[in-house]
Amino acid sequence: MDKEVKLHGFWSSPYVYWVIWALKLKGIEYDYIEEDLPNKSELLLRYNPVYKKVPVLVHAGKPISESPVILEYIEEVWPHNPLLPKDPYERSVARFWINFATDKVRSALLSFFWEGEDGKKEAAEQMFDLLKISEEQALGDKKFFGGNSINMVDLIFALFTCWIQTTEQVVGIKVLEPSRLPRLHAWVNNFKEEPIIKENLPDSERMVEHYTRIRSNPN
Amino acid sequence: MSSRGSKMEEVKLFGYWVSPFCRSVEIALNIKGIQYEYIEEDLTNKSPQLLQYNPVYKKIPVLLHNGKPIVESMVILEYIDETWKNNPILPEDPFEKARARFWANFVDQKCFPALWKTIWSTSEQYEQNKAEALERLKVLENELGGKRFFGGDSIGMVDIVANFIGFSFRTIQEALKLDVFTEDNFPKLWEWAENFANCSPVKKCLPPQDKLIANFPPAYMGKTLVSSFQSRLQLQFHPPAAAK
Repeated sequence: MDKEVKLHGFWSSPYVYWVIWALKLKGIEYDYIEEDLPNKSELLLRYNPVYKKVPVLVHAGKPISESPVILEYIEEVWPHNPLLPKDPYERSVARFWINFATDKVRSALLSFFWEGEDGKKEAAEQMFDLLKISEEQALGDKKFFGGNSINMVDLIFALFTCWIQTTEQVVGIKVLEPSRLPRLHAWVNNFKEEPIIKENLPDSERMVEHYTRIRSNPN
Repeated sequence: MSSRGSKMEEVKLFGYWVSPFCRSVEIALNIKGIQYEYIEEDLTNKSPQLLQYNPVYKKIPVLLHNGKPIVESMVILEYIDETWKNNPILPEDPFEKARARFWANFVDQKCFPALWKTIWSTSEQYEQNKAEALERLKVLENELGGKRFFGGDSIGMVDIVANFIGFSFRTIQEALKLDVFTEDNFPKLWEWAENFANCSPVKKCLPPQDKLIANFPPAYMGKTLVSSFQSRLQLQFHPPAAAK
């Protein structure tokens, strides 16, 4: 049976990194296919007809779409180096924070990115408020969201952090400052030092350039 | 069915009778035969316990299991399935499980908001909102295909999450004289809804039709929503200018 793992992605898509980090942390070999997003491949459209988006994971010829679904699939099929707690209650807490990130943090980030001169300060404060909640209630005094080691919650917050830091430079307002979010700031530094993550971070200069261009020319 | 385990496990559900998110949890608990205490929340005057158990969102449903709170309906469904292994609501095969999760998300994030919008449309907005809802229902009907339920022979997570389509929406649209989900347009989904509403875990917790109708008088169309739904839907109704 074809056991091959393939990942269809796009270099500036946040959720693609979520999947890449999970695959790498579990040592899963895969082929990466870079999609040209304005010009999507036939395969992508066939694999994800509902949303036509990346990432799509293909395992033994079967496609899985939507990154939270992909992450749960990876966790189930390759349970070594677990990225979710075993205990159902602890898992529910992790899933809660993943939802919080993909729903609330994402929306706030989009507002922060797109708001014009009049609204960007308020959008930045809303972004800060959500990060404060995350720092106090999700991270607490732990080194990582997952405790002593990285788990799926760390991965989702990390990818949003990368995009928040890019947006800070594009928009010109800092949100994730050590004075206001000390524990989260320390966590970002710890996270970026983890070997596998360090080798698989998006190119920050390229991101700033790319998103600056998008912001000034939305089409 | 008697409660599972050697000692009485304490299961409580904080809910609101109209909420389809709350209904999802009730159906899952009924499928598994779990006895629970139901606490109806007054959403205009939330209880201290609700605020304590769900400090981030302050919303229902909240499931309390042996004193530990679990919130967000989809997270609660996963918790229920992992904690009580009988009558699983997700397939065992990882790929089929991923499919079920994908479609449950689609119903939750794409179908429900689209249908909800049609209920609260002004007359100017209705046709456009209806078109969007029809598109989503079409995709869903294609996925159902020839199956009795999305879960196969018995109801599973996708059916549960689609409970609003299966029951309440039809009642509400009839009361408001809307024509979104019709038997002519969606024969397979219509049949699914009939079968779904007749399943015993579902029947046990359906709201009385007359109470539902009274809660959605035609005068509400276009006006402000009950807050518990509004904040959730705000984000859906105000998408960004362009997707990344």
